[in-house]
Amino acid sequence: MSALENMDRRIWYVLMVLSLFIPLIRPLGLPLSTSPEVRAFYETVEALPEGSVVIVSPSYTPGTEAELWPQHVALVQHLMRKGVKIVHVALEVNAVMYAEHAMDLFKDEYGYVYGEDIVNMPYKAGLDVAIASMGRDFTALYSEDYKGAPLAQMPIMKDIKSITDIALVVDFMPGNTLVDFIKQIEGPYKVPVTGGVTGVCIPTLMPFVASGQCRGLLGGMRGAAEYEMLIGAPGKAVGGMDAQSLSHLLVIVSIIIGNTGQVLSRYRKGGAV
Amino acid sequence: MSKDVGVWIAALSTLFMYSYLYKDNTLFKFGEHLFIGVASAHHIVMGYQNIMEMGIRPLGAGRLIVVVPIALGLMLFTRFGTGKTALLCRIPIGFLAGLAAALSIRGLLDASLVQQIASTMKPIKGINDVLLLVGVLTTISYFLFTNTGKNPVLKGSANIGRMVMMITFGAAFGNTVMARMSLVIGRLQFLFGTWIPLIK
Amino acid sequence: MDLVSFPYLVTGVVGGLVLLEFFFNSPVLASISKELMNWGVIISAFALGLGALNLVKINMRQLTNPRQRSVHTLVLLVALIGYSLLGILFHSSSAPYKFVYDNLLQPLSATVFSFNAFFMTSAAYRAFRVKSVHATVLLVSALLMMLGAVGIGEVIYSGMPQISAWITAVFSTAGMRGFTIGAALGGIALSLRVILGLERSFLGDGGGGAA
Repeated sequence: MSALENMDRRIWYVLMVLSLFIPLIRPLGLPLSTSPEVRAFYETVEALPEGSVVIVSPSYTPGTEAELWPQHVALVQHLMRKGVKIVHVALEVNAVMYAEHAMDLFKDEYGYVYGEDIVNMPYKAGLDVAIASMGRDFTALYSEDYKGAPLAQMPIMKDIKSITDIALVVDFMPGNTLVDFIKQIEGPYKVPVTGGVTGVCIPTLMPFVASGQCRGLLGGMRGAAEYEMLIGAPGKAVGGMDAQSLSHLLVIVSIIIGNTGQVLSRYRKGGAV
Repeated sequence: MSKDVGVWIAALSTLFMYSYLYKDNTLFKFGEHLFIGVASAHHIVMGYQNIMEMGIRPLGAGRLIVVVPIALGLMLFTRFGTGKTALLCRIPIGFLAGLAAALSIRGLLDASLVQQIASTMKPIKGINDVLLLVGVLTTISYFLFTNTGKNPVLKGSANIGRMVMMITFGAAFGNTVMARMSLVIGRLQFLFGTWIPLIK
Repeated sequence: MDLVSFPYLVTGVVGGLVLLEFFFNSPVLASISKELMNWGVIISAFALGLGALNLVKINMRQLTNPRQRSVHTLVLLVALIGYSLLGILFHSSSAPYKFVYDNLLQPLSATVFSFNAFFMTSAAYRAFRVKSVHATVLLVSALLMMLGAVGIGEVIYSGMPQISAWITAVFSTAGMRGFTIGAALGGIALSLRVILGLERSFLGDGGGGAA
């Protein structure tokens, strides 16, 4: 084996940290264009009339927070700026915590009142079973908010009799919940669905975006960065894109070095490449 | 540097875990076991609150039918028992499997089958539509006709389908790199944005 | 009917009722289906405790065994039981619960998942080898996607984002759509087998019945 093939992995770890750290403290100012899917997501939200009700489902975990939290935050800010009412639902155990944090970031700035303009629903186990139940009878599934307060007394709920009263469903998923929303809500009830996903899940959702079942898509940190630029509020995602650039170059270099090492080894062994 | 106790706890937890990248050590093991304990506890708390909200409180308010799902849920724990008692847990599992299977058919039929086929079979307006149609058909043929034998059409179709899948996997790998790097960026933004503010 | 076969009857009845409701416009079926779905949510909530209980059982056994005992086991049990009690007694919206969540659970979880990036870089270096035409196609596609997703790709060639968008919109969509349709066919067949009692592996009884 050549030396190129046998580098200590910790060298790569150090190089990786450096390739991410340096652009974070010294931004490179690299360009950031907008993809059609993010533009479609933005326009879907932008077309919502003031006073309409949107379900936001932050179905992510701390393990995928770096990509999906910036998307979620940007959406909440966009919705509040438009005066759209927000119903946060929780299909994942961490969702209620993220819903609270996102709400607390902007509610005072935009004068949102809990119970009138925004509400956080409690966690419901079962994923697609909970989503199907939501579609079948929304008010039967939810009787209390996250803290146990009765929903019947909240003004935001007076116009929600069924899922068809919802103007848009937005789900942020590292798993399969957005696909479940498309299957169990968009299909049977024709409620528009869109969302944000981790980079890994972009290919899974593309067939649904192409068919119009998902109205646009935010993909990974890049999608969050593009959306932040579109709403005029650059944040953590935009700040992280330069670091993404160098890290991608490092992975490409690592693949080239690994393959070069292999070629050199074979050449030294037998002459043939 | 931040003066917030919480931020320091979070930063030290992060560094304890990252110490594993050098080599396995006691600090990492401590963080790992702490993580498993706290994460499992969070699941218990969320499950408890769900059961209280949908089961116990309605039962207290007079909705007696919820005794059935509560009983079925409790039956799940009989798996830790022995003999015939342990077989009781199969009933709630059977319930959930039947429910999931029915919902799966309902969801897959329209969203994943009919709509996807309809979206593929649309008027061809350009080269991209041709490539999309050929790509979908050859990928499906690769899965459906596993044993192509000597049939040149099926063999050719499967080969093209395999190429399309290689491009798809490559695209998936590229997106995965972006996703994974984002996770470290998130940690660095916390360490050097909140704990030791070097990032402006 | 014994406890071995009765669960399959439950599967068939529940699955059958929920499936029939999809095809027939009946208020009775709709009402039953709605109730069954809500029951499913409650039962799934109980399932969350199963894993934790198993964890407690294994770690208690380790703690009582002098050879397997370690301080880390104690840390796990104290964290699990303590944090559970905190949430159950004071609710997850309480300040102490949120403090532990924000400053322990969240950073620990995020850091564990971020290991993937390091291992992936190391794996790309060690294992991503171009040994065939298919591997070359995969590599080229991956390189174009990686460069197209970031600003430096646009600096190298201004059309890079459009190239990666084209790969995503055409080839990746075609491949994934093929998967989706194929998986849907398989999923529908498997789900029907489960409801009809032909598939028994989900209860650990080994292969299916007569096809």
